[in-house]
Amino acid sequence: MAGKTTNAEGGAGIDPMHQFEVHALFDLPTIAGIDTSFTNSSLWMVIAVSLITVFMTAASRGTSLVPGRMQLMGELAYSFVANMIKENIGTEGMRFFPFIFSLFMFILFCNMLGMLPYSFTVTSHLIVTFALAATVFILVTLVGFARHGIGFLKLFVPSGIPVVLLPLLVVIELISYLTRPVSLSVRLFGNMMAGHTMLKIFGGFVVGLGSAGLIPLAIAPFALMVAFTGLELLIAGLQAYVFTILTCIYLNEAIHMDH
Amino acid sequence: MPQLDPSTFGSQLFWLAVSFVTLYVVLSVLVLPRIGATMAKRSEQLDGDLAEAEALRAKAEAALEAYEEALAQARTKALVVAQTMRAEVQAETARQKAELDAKLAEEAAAADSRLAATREAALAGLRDAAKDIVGEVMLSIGVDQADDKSVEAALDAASGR
Repeated sequence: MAGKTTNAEGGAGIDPMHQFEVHALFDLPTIAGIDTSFTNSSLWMVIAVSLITVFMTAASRGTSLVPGRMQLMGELAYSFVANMIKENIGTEGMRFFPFIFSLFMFILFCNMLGMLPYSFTVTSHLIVTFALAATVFILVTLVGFARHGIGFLKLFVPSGIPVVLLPLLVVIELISYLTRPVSLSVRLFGNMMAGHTMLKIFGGFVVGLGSAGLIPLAIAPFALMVAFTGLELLIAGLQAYVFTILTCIYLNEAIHMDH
Repeated sequence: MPQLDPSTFGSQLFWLAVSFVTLYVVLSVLVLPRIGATMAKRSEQLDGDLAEAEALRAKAEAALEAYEEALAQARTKALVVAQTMRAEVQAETARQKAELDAKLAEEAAAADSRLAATREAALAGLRDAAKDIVGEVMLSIGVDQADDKSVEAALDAASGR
């Protein structure tokens, strides 16, 4: 990847996909066959993690009975995720609280930081969302087998079904289980990429019409862009929530197996 | 589509792992236990305060109950005292009245007997006087010596005895 800068800022003026390009900020040596170059993607991951750490550390500094502003925000985030887990999994799900909380905060901050102009949206890359979804998938599968042993396979055998239909249904259940990481990752990646591409295209209209001297015509795409920015902020929060709550639902299924 | 360029996958996965694991460690070791402890402490404190308030309320109610009971007891005692006093006063009054009645009756009896004695004496005096007068009258009419017995008999007949 080092030195790869195929920029498509060509004839069309503005390439909506340009914003998703990953380029190395500085090269680092390849360790055990893994390219560790520090890219714009890495930068925004580090920024997200740093901001979460700063925010949550500031929030956890206050230990007073009546919380201050930062403390209250931290506690709101804490109880938001904690309640999500308690409602979907129950109190035994609190074992996974640090992981689910980290997952929610990481996706939320990456999505939100992606809304900043000239920033990079980490979650608009399928490989990142797929890695997160695969982590969840592996965790769910491990938890399922750890709790129920080989009995976890009963998850794929629906009860009260005629024996004739069973082979077909088992295959369907198995496929739906195995495609979970795909649907989970593509949902987040697709939402992020589509939204940003659309914003970029509308932005291109505004700039194109404006520079062509058709400023009254540029007002319509500009207004749409403002509205879509609001919608994108909503989606950024919502998709973080959806990813997290699906993780909770999958974990609940692995723990309780009430299919 | 830059997303499908496999040459960037290695670096993205590496830095995702580094940053996410860092975040997970920082949050799970440093931050979340503190927030959880603060919130647990708060709910503990609230529960404790509520329990204390409940205990104090129960205590206040018990005190009120004790006060009312004492009040009722005092009222009953006062009633008993008043009744006893009334009975005592009534008994004393009755005793004094009886005493007075007895004294008055005694005095009346004494007066009666004195009156009777006086009357007796007066009657006796009258009889003697009558006897004397009869003697004088008889003397003046020439009966020298009337016998007492006949005079007495006459007087008795006159006085209706």
